[in-house]
Amino acid sequence: MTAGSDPIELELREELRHLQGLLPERIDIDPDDVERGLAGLVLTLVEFLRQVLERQAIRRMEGNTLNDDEIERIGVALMRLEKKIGELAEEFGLDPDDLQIRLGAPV
Amino acid sequence: MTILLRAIVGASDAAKARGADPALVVARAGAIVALASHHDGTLTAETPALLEHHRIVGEIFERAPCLPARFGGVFADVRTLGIRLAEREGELALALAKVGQRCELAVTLAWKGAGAMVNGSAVVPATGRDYLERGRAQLHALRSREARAKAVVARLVAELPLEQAFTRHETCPRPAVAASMSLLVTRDQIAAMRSRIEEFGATLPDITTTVQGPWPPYTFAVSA
Amino acid sequence: MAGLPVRRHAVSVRTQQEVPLVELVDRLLNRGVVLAGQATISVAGVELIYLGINVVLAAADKINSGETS
Repeated sequence: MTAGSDPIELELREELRHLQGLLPERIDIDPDDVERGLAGLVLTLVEFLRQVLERQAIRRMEGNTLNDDEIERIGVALMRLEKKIGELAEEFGLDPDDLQIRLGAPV
Repeated sequence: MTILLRAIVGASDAAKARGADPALVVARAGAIVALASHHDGTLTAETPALLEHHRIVGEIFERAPCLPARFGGVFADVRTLGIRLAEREGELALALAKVGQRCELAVTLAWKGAGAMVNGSAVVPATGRDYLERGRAQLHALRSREARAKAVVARLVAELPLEQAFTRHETCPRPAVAASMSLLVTRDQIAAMRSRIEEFGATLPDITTTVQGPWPPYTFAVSA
Repeated sequence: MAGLPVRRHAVSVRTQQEVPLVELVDRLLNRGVVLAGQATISVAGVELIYLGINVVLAAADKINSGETS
């Protein structure tokens, strides 16, 4: 597929580029706390993917290519996922801010 | 004991630059040398170590044109550093020549009242649809901030008497920041540049401007 | 090789006052010459995984768009 042939794919690539900035460039794990370090890595990646999915869902919602039922189901799934990520972060003693996680109301 | 890379200077400036810190060690590769400090191997990227890096790089920069190293460049010994340096000698010598005597000014355009910035409803979403609608509102608020930041940066860059090649910027790099800019300027340009930026900043109702520096040219040490 | 454990510094802004420090820390951690290679995850000084997420994303990007690097 050549660049410029699919506007939706162009937007996705643009968003990926934007969200790439959220990922830390270096990830280092304290040998005394490997579990926590790996958990942080995993949760950062999951949150990153969650945000990509959410943006895609929003775009589809705006483009009217999702019906009401789909919107509701996707919204609930993403909301639960965000909540779960926040809970896991807390369990591992990680600061959700470090994972770029929104928790309820924004500051 | 391993060594931590601080900066790269021209070979002819090595003796001068070493004056920055008696403990600096030197690795040579043709036209350039790398200056490094010993450390005991338990390196953490915490503020004191970072500020120490900045201090030493600053001292080197006071004495000779240099390419600052990113913090955390650890090498087993001077020999290893020399090998890595030699691999990039041509490219680094060129970068050093380009940067020359210039220094970096860091301009931060920050949103006023960032603490009060509300992206959408403060209510926890009750339904899946509400959740996506909230996400949409946040996304739109983000996009309009990005557009505003881009427009302001474009105006500022246009006003500054500086070639594009000597400016870099990122819009919305962090929640509180509209734009983070780096300017590569000669020392005699500093005062004029500062006052142009501050004058410009005073006209913005929603953004504060802060200028820091002159710093060693971290942002311009490697080509974009 | 730059593989010794370096504890990650969270470059986040809690208050307006911290912005200037964060700008400096951002430069010290993310700009400047790097001689020793890409992002790695190391445990106890041993490099175990090469994590080039940004590289992977960029490569996927290029593959999809039909560009070559």
